[in-house]
Amino acid sequence: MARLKIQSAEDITAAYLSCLNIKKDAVPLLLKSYPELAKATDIPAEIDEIIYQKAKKIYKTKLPKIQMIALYKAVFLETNLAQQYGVYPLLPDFDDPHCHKLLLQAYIETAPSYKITDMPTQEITPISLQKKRNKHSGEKKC
Amino acid sequence: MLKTRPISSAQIRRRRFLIFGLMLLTTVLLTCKWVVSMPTYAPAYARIIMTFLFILTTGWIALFFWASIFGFFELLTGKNMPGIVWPDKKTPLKTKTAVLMPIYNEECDMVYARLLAIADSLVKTGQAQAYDIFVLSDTTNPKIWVEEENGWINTKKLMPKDINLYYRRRPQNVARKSGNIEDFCHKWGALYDFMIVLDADSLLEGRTLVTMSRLMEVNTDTGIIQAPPQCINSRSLFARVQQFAGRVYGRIVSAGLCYWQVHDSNYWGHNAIIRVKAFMECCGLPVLKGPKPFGGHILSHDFVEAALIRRGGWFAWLLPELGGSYEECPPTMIDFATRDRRWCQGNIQHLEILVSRYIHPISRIHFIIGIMSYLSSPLWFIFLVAGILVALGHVYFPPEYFTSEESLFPNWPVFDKFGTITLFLISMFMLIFPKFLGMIIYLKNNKFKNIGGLFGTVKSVTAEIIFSALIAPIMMVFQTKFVWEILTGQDVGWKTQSRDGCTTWKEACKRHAGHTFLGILTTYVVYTQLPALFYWMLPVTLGLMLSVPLSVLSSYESLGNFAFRHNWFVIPEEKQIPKIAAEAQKKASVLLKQSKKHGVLDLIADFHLLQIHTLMLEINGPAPEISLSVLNEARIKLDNYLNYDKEPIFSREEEIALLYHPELLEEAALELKLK
Repeated sequence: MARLKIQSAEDITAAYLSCLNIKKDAVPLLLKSYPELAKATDIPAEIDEIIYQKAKKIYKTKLPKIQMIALYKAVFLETNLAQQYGVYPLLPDFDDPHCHKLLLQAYIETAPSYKITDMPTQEITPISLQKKRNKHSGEKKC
Repeated sequence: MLKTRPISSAQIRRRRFLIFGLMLLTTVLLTCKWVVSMPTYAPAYARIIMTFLFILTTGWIALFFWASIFGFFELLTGKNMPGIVWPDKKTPLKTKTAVLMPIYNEECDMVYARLLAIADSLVKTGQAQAYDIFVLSDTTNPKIWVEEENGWINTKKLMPKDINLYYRRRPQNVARKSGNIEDFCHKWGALYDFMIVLDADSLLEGRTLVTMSRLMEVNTDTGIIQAPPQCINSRSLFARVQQFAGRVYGRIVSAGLCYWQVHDSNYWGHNAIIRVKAFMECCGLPVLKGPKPFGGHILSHDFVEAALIRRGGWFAWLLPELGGSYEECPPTMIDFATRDRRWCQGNIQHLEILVSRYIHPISRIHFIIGIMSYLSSPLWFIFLVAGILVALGHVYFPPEYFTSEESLFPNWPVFDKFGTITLFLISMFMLIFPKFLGMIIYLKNNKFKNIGGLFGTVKSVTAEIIFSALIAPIMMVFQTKFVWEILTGQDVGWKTQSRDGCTTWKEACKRHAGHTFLGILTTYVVYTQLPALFYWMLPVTLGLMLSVPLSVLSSYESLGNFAFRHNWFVIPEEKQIPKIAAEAQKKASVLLKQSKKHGVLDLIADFHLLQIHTLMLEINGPAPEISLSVLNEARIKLDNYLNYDKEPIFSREEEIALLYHPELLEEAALELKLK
């Protein structure tokens, strides 16, 4: 995917933010809040890490990292958070209870947590085989 | 509220003795008549074989005849199923039920539309909070996989708040539908008291779902309750005829089955409620030993699960009183036969389980009925062929009136023609009379205006009898071929069932060439060599010779509509479409506008959908083994699409490889934004 490597940090960041419906003019604010972002070799991965840290604070689930990031992004889009808050939820010191409530309420559960239970395989033995086995091995009949 | 009617074990035994006793008596009497009516010029071995075949086919017909008679009287007197406790409608539910929709490469807009209709119907009962819905996908087509996820998002927005809609896709389709359900039980079964299993074309009204849950709550010894599904939404002529037959005769067949089954009923794989604890304790299906098609995973798992749950001491009920349970018919004869092929193999596989230890005797009878549903066709085929050969033998090898043995009298060959005709008429009576009984109940229970009028019903029943007489020999040859294929080791697999579409002349010629040839050959032989049998064989030969046009014309929706407008094969559910079915159609048109058909390309264009897909991978995993070369090939195609607008044609493996690498899809999505 050669195109990403030759774009500027601003362009890549803008593209990423636009996926979340955040306007292009939020890019300078984000880059100012995270100076290391501009020098990063993999900007999308860095923004993913920011999102992951944000998601961990809000959602106390045991989802793997990649799913936690996807969850946050999906909820961000579903609640149309960009329209109300722009890029602010991604900024370091952002702590708006109403925004957090929105994110929590919009939690997406694709399936409930597992409650693993065994389902033992049943024995289906033809009568003739059962008799043969008992004859030769001396096992007790059921 | 239905009254609870107690029934003792002695009464149940009496019912079974009556039905099977009458069946045996009828078979014995008719067989005796057959033995004395058979032509004496036939060789002894031929007479023995034909008598054996006669016993099997007559016993089979006699069982359903007598069951229908008793079912008729049960329906006429308005009696509901005895032995089961009918619950009070006002009690709120104390249990939690999972509604399961296992799907495999289906048209998911309709699937989700049906689930929405079921959910809305549940809300009206005030008990919606007691239900969760699971879409359990075994889909192997990557484009349909993405479509399902998109459908889930859109459906969730329309789903009532009280009902959770969940989605899971298995990466490996192990043991097909039974494995799918087992996977659910393994992961989430412990969270639910009951589960209601649906098919992709199933519809169950909310009141029916709630009644089923209530029945399970008060009947704590019950493992399965089966609601017999009624066919609806049929459009082709073939499907409408099947739908009509099911509606008119289905009640009497179900009532007859209920009469002797009572609490030892069967399970038909869908539109049924199951106690999860009982199912998990008793119904873990083994892999049968031996090579396919006898060995391997159990195809027709439903009969086996019913037998196992019964073996575990739980009851299984068939309750026609439930109502509000619907499904759809295969639209064409060929689709019907395709589904039959799978069921045939599944039932023949039951031969091993039939002779297993600790299976309840009534469960064994269910297996025999299932097996005979398909084995009766080759038996009938052999019977017909043997009859023709015996008759031909008489033509080419005239009898010896005076043999080498000294005798004062010639050796006259005896053939009781009148006896044979009598037997034929009795067999026809046993096959057709129950249909007229079904018609009486149908007319009694429905307003004439809702069923196309009295004349409309009578002419439809007559036409259905003629139509089924014509297609019976075609299905006989199909099923004989299926049985032969199975016995010679040819596995069928599990193809997605077609739920719409008509048969082309080309396809019909290909699939029915053998039938047509057989029909013409038999007609020629009988006409030239056995003219006395010509008209007797015509019901068989005519159907075979006309198999191609029958198959094509009956698949047309236009003919189905024409028949409806002229009051042919009308059922009340066509005059007054069930609300749930109408709701499902409405929802389907909404969901169709939002559907996505382009798999990976849709994912990279829709960032929200991509996040949902990534989120779901945790439940949908683990990823199967993906070859690096396949993944690289997929990456190159995707790259060419992004950089040079070259439309990618992914193979199934390539697209699935990408779907399991969301990081690549994220990159591609960003690239699209950068363009």
